[in-house]
Amino acid sequence: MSFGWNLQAPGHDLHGVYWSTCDGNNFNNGNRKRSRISYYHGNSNIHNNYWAEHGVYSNVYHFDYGNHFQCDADPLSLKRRKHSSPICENNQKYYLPSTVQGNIPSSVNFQASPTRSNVDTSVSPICKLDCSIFEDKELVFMSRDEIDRCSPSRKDGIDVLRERHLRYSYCAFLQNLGMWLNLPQTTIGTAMVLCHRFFVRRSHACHDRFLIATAALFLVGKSEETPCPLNNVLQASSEILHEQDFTLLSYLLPVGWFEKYHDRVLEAELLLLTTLNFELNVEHPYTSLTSVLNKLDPSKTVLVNLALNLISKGLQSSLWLQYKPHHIAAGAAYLASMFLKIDLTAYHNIWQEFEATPSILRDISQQLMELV
Amino acid sequence: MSDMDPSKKVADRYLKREVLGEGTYGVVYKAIDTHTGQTVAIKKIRLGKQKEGVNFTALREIKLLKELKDPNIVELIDAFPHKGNLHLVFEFMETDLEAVIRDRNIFLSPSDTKSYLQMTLKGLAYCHKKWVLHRDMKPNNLLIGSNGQLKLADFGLARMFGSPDRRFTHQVFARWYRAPELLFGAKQYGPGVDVWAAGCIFAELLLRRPFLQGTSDIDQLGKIFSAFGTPTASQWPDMVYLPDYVEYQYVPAPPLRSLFPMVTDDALDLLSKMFTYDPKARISVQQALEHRYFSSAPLPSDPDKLPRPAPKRESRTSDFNLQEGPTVLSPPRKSRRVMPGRDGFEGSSLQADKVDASFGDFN
Repeated sequence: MSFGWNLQAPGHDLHGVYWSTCDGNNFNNGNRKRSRISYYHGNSNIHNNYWAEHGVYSNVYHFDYGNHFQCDADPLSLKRRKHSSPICENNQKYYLPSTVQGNIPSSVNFQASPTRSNVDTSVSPICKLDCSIFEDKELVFMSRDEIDRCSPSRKDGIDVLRERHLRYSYCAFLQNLGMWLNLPQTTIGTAMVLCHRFFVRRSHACHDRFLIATAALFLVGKSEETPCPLNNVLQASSEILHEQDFTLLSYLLPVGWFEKYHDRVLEAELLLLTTLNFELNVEHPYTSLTSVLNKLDPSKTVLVNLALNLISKGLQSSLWLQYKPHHIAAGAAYLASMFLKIDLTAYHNIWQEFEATPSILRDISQQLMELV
Repeated sequence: MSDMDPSKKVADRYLKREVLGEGTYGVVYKAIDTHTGQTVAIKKIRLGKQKEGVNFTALREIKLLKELKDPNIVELIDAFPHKGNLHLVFEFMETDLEAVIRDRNIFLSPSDTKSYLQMTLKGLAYCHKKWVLHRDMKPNNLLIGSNGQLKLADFGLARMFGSPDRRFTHQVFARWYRAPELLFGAKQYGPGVDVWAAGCIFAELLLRRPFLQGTSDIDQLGKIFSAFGTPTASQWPDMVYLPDYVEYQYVPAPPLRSLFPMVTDDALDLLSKMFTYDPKARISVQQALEHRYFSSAPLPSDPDKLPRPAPKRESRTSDFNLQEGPTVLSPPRKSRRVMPGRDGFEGSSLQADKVDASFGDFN
């Protein structure tokens, strides 16, 4: 049985293609919209991953290149499937992404968590291990080891490598969605960091990362004074996730799907706020990087640009949970100088200006290297 | 029903007491934090079936107040959703500066005025240091606690500033406190707008009535020009380039002493610097705090020695002619319920882009 997309081997970085096409140094809010074709070509990995995780590649379906699904199995038997499965109601056969991710041990019963009327932060009964040890603490910086060991996803059988890929995928999705909506890079970056903070406190097994990411970008748009109407956000995210023009989606998906999606995103927005204890402030390293590096002679603009690109790459990682912005800026500058073979130590006290120790520089540059 | 009736508890922690006020935002009520015994003010924001999710203004206020921690800025203690509403928990403040100014039983000495202004400017200086414009400075957004401490409240219109190309709406501030650049439609402005409003509050403390009570934007400019004279090109070179600039008939500036006959020279000097037309030449908040007015005798009163209005606000007729108040810009359904005897002041705070009532209006 053949599919319209090429699946990449497990463990392969699903998002290298996308991130290499992303201009991480584009901080102005110019017209960055591309055609849908180039979006899909550059980013089809996101969709492959998304649909694969949600059971689209299961042998239950015949794929006919139009996102129509035929259901061979008895609808009742599908309800017992552990992974996300299509929902068949009123003889309509369609696919609805659930709130859970694939490739997770079947020992946990994954159903879509019931919607809660008052959207309090109570954890749904099916995700008993959802909360993390960081739940009630104020925002603090953690070591990479702490993040990897104490992530609530670990208890749900998602290993470090898998979580890293999940992180890359929602970051790629956010970058795509943000550019589609013409949002500034700082808004997109802030949404990524809020998602990282969320998944340090909540398990990937219990929350659809693309739903959380959509809610995060909508929320950050408002908090960063770059608001985007919710319908625009929903429309763009639907088109990206379903790889279909929005007008076509209205025919392919069941009646009322958009309203349901609307409600789920609003619930996710409130869940995000309460999980993060309403901490929406995210400082980015851009300012400290440019203010320090601009003190160097003007010929070093290539260094600044490379460092800014490395910072944008770094948004895919958990660095923002580990280090202060000026430390990330220092690490990016250090790595950029190594790439370009520029000796920054020749500039008096440059690392002191960043308040960065050699161990901090080494650790951050090493983590950034993993992303390049 | 007993005082500790659990049916009146919010989110198992706050014991609801009387309603302090109601606005487009939702209800503001007094409550007791059962964990600490502290009295708090809870702003209940209706989420309901909002098409655009969590209220933009509430979000802005939460985000900024999480950042701004200062003795002269009201503290946001907690925020939580409950039964389809978003609740913001603030420290409870007994009264506000508007109530103090309007209470004819209170005598404000020069030291008291100096103290109130100093606390206002300290809170504002902290905001500006953190690159935040308040944009809604007025006496009923300056809350006063039981210890006499004055705190800035209602950050629903506040915004970060700093980017030179950042464009903002000019529909901010209650009209009486709006700087001339805003009235001329400026979209790029800075901390000077808060300084002008603080100047209006200073004048109000001295006069015990609102200083410049315009009934429309045009009338407001007229009131400003009759008080300080029509600005000339040499005084304010950029004025003619503002979007809504219109030429006014030239009026010479009367001596400031004629408007404030009883005040000291230092007070007059500070006032004149806060009311400078050109925002680039206008005194900054930090410079205002360093002005000799605050270091000269009499020194500012200690906050705990400041006079406060009687706890129970009795309904009484307004001290001011209501005809002189500003027109309400919002449709009737958006008008808010206010404390008895305070209706003369409310209309001005309903801007076209301000969708929320502040809890400051009700304490």
